[in-house]
Amino acid sequence: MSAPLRILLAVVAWLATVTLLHLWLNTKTLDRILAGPPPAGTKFRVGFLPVT
Amino acid sequence: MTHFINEHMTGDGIFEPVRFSGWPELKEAFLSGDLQATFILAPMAMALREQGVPIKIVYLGHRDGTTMMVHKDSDIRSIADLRGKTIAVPNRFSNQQLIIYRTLKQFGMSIRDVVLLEMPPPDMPAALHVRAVDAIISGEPFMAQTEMDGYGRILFMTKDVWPEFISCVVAVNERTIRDHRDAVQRLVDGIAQSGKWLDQSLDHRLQAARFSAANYYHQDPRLLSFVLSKPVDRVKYTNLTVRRPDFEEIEVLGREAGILQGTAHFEDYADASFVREDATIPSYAWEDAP
Repeated sequence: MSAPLRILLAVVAWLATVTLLHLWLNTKTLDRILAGPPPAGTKFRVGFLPVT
Repeated sequence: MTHFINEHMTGDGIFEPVRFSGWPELKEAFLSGDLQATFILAPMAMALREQGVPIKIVYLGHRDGTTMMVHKDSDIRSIADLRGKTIAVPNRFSNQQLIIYRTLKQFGMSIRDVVLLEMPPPDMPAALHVRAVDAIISGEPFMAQTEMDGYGRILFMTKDVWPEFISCVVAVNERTIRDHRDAVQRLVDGIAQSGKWLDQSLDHRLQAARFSAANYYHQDPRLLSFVLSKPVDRVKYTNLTVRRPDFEEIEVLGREAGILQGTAHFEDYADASFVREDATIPSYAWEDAP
């Protein structure tokens, strides 16, 4: 395998790794946002109407 | 009420009650994720599930506690007299609408024999006072307010025409169950404990009326005392377990009345796993109350 091809493959592998890591971290962040605030130390908001 | 009682009984203050004036606003806040849990009309929660919202009913808010009022000078004396009249209901997706459907059916009438008007419960007393509508039906204390102020007359209480009536349920998002299961359990336990405490004695109810009037409802404490004591079984806070037959009856009525499609069933919209065995206790023997 020629040197330029090895460099190209290394760059592609690096880009793929970074992209996957970025997607995974974003998913975790999104999950955390969607999950709302954790109850410990914060308030758990409960909606109600002033009926019975 | 639950929040205050919880804090004072167990020191458990992780819940922040968020008050709304109308059901549409509350529903939107729940859908947006602003609320982790909510008290919501039972058919509304079921309809949301049919629409794909990952909502689960985990407990009931109370049983009975709904009254239909007419003006004291009205000629409406029985259900049959409602023909052609205008009735204010809290929402299309409410059990109050279904009880009208169910009761009219028993009298050989249909929902088309009356005019239903959706109205936020806090606006109902004024509408009845000026006779903008012929009858109003909602959860208390707005119905009792018309009675206390002298212009409302009871046509029926739910306990007399649909015993163990369910109006509000406690609902959470499935994501909340997945991520904050302990908090949901604490909420259900807190409501169950509060309900037991409230239904233990009339004295507890009167105490609750005083502090909830000042801290949450921002209403006259005498009104809440009236609701919780005249009669004492006007509204009940025990037997709040999520039971399949209750909801299957609502499903059938909802389909017949055209507010539910019948595409979601008990296992889809309910999760009774948070209800502990000791949550259901026999109701207080109210007939012995002073």
